Amino acid sequence: MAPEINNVYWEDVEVGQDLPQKSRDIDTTLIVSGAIWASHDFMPVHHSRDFAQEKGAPDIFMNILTSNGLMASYLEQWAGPEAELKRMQVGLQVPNFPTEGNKMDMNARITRKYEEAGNHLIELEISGDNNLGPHVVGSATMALPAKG
Amino acid sequence: MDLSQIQVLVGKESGPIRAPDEVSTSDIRHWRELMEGKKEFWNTDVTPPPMTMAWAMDRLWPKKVEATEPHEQVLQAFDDAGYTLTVGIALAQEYSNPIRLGDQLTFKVKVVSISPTEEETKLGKGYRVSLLYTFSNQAGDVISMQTYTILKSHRLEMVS
Repeated sequence: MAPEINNVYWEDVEVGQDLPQKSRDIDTTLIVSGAIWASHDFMPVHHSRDFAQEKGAPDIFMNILTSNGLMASYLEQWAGPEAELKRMQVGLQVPNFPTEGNKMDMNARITRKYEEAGNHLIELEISGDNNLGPHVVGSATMALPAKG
Repeated sequence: MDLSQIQVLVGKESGPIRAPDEVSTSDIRHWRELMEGKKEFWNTDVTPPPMTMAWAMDRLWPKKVEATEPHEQVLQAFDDAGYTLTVGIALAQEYSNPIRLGDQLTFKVKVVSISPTEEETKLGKGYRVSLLYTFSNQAGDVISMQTYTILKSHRLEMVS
């Protein structure tokens, strides 16, 4: 069965609305593949446990491009294929380590809804939390399709 | 150049730097697989915009031997002073035009700010360096401007 494709329309969302939470398991494969394979980041703190520990970290940890990409994907998968990401801003707090059972809970809340230059826009506060606390905190702007 | 001199590089921008390859399906697929986006939700001709920075990362080989651009000189000065770790801590991206399959990207990097002294951060002591990347396509259209803030440090101090 083909997966159902839902577009979220600008008219149907409200300021204050929370997006459904999604979670992603944080393991070594995700961290290493995210750094080297997806984002071309070869800093050894993202793939070598020995190196990371020698430099004072308890383990390897996720690079910012992977964290940012996971948050962007979370928004894009909620909004559907006709939405367009216009802006993202993220800051990292506690790292994503591949600790047994660790996961990142991704959340977003719509904080503004407006029209500009023919675009139907929303702004969102976004956050990703792991077993130690907030990992990524930021905001995003998306254009959503309108019913017209 | 040593650390006492690098503030003169703030505000200086590199020349255009060419991405190593044209935008290809395999680059996009690697990103999409990792992010687990459903295929039906992809516009397969367009790159996920948060991926843009992947075309500006240092290559594994050949290593660049001489720091010639302003941002390279800043990072080299920190490396030479023993601040060899580079960890991204903040990223602000604006996407103005889509990146399509086959596009040849170029980017310029401007040094926006450097901590005047070593600071305490959540990852330990170090210097914050903010760099503004301006990405363009082969037509000269700006596709994205991104401020990337990294921490240069000797050693990490983290809770676990």
